[in-house]
Amino acid sequence: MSKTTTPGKSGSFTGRRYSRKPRRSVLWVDALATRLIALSGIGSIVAVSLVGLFLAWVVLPLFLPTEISKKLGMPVSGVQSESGTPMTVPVASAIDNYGLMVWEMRTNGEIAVQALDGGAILERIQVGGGIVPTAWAFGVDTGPVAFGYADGRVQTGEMKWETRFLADAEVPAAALALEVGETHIWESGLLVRTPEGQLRHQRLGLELADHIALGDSAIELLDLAVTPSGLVLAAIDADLKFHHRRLTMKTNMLTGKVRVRARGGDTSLPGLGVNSRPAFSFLGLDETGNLALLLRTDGSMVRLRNQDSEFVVSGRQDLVPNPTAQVSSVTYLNGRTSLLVGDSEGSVVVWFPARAAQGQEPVLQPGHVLEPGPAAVTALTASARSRMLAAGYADGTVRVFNATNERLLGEDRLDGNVIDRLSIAPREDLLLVTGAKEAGLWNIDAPYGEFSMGALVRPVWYEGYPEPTLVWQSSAASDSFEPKLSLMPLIFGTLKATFYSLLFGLPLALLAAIFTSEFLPRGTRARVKPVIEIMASLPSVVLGFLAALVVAPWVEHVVVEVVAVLFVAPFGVMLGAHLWQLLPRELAARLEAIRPLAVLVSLVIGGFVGWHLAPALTQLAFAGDFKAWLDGRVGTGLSGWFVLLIVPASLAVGWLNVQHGEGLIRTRGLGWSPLALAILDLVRFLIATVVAIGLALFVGWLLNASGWDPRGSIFDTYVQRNALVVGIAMGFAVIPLIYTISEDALVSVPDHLRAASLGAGATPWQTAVRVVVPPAMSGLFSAAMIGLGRAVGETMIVLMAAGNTPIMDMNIFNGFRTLSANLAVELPEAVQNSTHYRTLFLAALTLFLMTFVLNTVAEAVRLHFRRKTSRL
Amino acid sequence: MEELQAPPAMDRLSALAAGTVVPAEIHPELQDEEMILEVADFNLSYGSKQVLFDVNLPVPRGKVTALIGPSGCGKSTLLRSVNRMNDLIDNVTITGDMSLGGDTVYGRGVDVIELRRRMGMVFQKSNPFPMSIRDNVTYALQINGERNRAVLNEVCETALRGAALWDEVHDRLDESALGMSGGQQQRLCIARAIAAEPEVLLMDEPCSALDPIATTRVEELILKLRGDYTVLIVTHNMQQASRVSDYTAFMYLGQVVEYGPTAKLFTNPLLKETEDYITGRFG
Ligand SMILES: Nc1ncnc2c1ncn2[C@@H]1O[C@H](COP(=O)(O)OP(=O)(O)OP(=O)(O)O)[C@@H](O)[C@H]1O
Ligand SMILES: [Mg+2]
Repeated sequence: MSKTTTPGKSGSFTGRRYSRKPRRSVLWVDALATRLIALSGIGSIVAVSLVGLFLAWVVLPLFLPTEISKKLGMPVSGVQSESGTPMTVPVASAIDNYGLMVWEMRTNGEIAVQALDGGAILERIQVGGGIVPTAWAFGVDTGPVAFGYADGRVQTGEMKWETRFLADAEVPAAALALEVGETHIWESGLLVRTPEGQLRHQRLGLELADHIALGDSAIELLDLAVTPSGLVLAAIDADLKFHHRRLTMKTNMLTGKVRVRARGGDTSLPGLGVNSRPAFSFLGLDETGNLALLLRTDGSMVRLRNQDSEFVVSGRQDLVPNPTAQVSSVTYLNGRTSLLVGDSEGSVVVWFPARAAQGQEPVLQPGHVLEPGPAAVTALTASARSRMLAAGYADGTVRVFNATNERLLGEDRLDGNVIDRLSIAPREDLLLVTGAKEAGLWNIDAPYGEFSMGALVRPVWYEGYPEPTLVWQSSAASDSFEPKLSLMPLIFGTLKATFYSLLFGLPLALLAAIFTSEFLPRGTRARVKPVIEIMASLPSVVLGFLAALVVAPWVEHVVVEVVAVLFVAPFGVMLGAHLWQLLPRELAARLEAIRPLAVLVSLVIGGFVGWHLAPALTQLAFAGDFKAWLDGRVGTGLSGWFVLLIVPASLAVGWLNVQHGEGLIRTRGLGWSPLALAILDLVRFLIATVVAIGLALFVGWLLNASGWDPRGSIFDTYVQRNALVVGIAMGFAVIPLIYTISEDALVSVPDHLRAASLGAGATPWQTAVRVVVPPAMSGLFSAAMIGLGRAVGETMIVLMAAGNTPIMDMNIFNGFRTLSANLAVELPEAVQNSTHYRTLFLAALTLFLMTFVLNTVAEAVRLHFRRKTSRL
Repeated sequence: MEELQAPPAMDRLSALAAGTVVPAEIHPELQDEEMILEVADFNLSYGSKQVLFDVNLPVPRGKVTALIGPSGCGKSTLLRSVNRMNDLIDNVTITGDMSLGGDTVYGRGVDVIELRRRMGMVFQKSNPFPMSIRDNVTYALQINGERNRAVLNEVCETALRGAALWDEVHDRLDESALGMSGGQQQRLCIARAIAAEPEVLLMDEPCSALDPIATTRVEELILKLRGDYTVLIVTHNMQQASRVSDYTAFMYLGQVVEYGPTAKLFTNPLLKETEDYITGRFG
């Protein structure tokens, strides 16, 4: 800052002298800026990693190992003989909701209620007032029950845990001192202090209705189904009579007594050609109560169907093909559709009916074969909540499986015991194991048992499906519904959305970028670009609802028109270009300024012609009804092949034409007049068009003749909200993005390259394609990748316009559901920390990884391109 | 005529500086030449700023013509106008015309693409395309639809030999042109320009970025081209102009001041201003 007095003497030009040392403040700002930049750089990396980490953290529990473990031992509830072994065998048992007590019924008809902590017997209830029942049926959990007796009568009833909250004054003094979680035995039940400080009493309540007489001989097998229209009861008695009753309960207002009305019929099994050799071991009714399964000890199964109130045999099957094995334990899985069959050689197979064709009887399929056990299966039980099941074996082994994904969730042993009975707690956290000599309460530690890695990506055979499939279906109205959580349909939907959006968006955006950067004067470009960029700021929810409510219904009406315009308009432009050549040179040069307008006009005329050609095309190619054609009801696949093949055929023919035709003209056509050359060009173009159409028709005919029909894959039944609509709507979101970035990339190609090319006499198009695009490739590529990333992650548009059907269908006229839309739809209503919730997070993680991998690959490719052109 | 023949030196310069159009001194020797390019009353403005004033410049066929003049006097602009590269710049207004071999350049109905194909241009800064050496050289043929490999290879070799580059690059024709040295790149651009057999070769300070040896090569090349090609070259190097050109035009502030045979202009110019410029007394 200090001024020198005499310039020249001190070697100063300007008369000033400056300190060479940087000032402190400059250094300070420099240091600060360096740190700040480093900090925010690291910060953003950390933030992104944290997002990934958080997602992984939520997902992690799904992958933790599962196990079952012994919690506490208990005495067996049954009365013991001298030798210490009970004289009775348990036939049913259940744990209460809170995991505090258990009931168990034994073959002598006695139901014992037992406290789990300490094993004290709280109550013993004798069913049938001392008459030992000969058959019994329980709902999977507590609920309706039925007992059959030797005199051919049946008694139905209701068994449930009775819970009430008590005031301090109502309970004994000893209970007042209870700490939270502590229990006190009182009035045939347990008093417990809840976490809220209240006192809760729980006991088992059993109410039985009047007897119903079915026949004269002993009831041998009994089953009960709860249907929407009431209880259905089926029984087989010693006379081989099959009894079937629909029960309606009437409660007397005055006495409170429940009167049961039973309607139904009896069928003689031998009369149906069904004998009892070997003996029946299982009778089961399905959820509707109209289908009964009878299983013999050798595994032969007879199915009876209710046909106009008459039962008929509707199928016979062998469920244990192994001749040496005997059926040793049978039960229904939750939902009464899948049958669990355990045999004397330790195998457990899940059978369920595959959906059969109309009018045909469904056949049971061995959908899942569980890991073979070490000894005969002696106990099978299913959870009332999910497809979890427990299997007990003759050597004391106990296993817990998930039936659908066949996962072994845990295994332990009760040494020296035959496992008689297993019971899974309603919350699936406890397992009651009753052996011949001892019993025990075990922990089940498998909160996400229905999750399996394989089921995410590999087809899983779900109940009722004809074969293993990839399905995403997280919820349904029914309680026995099983969530189907395969990510594949969602990943497929994401890719489908991306593919169709880029199919329309990418070429348009790139061509638009080339047009503005290479063909428009700079001044015009400066005005066009912001306009297109404004499109990018359109909220995608607006695009989504426009697509869903305006575009989708409209496209549905004019789909043939749209397709025709897509094909005829480019043809119009090409034809226009060839006609332009016919203009006298003078005139053409004078009209040069309006050439872009002429291109537009030929595009519009082409589009107009295409639009009005559509009805004729519909008649010609789609037998007059496009949608019926799509359904495969009319017409042939040829026209579909034509639509698919005409573009590649045109490209191939056009390439051949340019490659060989041009050279021919150059050698033969020297000295021809420009008009003659232009006419020749036009003729060549028309011939090429005919050849391309012919080629597409020929190849299409070949494919069609060899039995391939594009309908059923790429074309299929029209759904209003489909990939075409999404492609159009997503175009609006993707095009501006790709356009801006690629335009910048093109503009940044140095002008001296353009000058060199144009100076050599290249046309703007030749310059663009040969000189400008190659060095801009890295930029164009990242533009495409960023567009791709946007398409992959886009939510609102696909949510509103894609129909949200998680199906795997190539069909451009069908909907789909993307990972992102699925998250938007389901995450808000997913139960926190449930398998569904965590699987949704896994979907989010997958989406995150997909975009991450995409971006990484894109960056690598971009750098590769850039290295190639970095020396410009 | 009188005031034109012997104007006081400073008067003429100040008249030019004031924007007055003063007709150029054109030596009578030029009348014997057959002209390939004629510039007639050519005016050019960038926006409101006029850069060329009533330029009249006949360029003889098969000869090398040099354009000299101080920086900013419009040499490049004039050169670019010849093959209408100024069309690419917004806001350029032009009056007057040129004719190439009798065909109008700025008249109505001119096919600019065809016009540019009749000329080759070498720019001050070398601008090879980011493609292989071979593709660079044969670019003009390729955009013209030539696909015959043999033809392309032959042209490539001839053009590279012409540009004195063949020996250096014949074993790496398929490598990127961007890997060449600056001097090689400039000669590649010359090879690219002559490969198209242009009627007129326009060169804008082709040697300004070259070392003396490369400059000599390019100058030899220009001398070799003389006769077959017409060359219009802009240069700041007086020695170069005198070495390679047959005719020289001296431009000043957008006007041609004096135009005649190089030898005469350099040893015995008609105007004192020309002599002053050539001897480095102003500029
Ligand atoms: N694109 C343009 N837009 C506006 N003015 C321009 C443009 N190009 C050149 N000019 C102006 O036109 C005048 C002539 O420029 P030109 O490049 O022709 O000079 P030159 O004689 O080639 O100079 P040099 O010897 O330095 O290359 C200069 O004043 C310059 O500023
Ligand atoms: Mg210049």
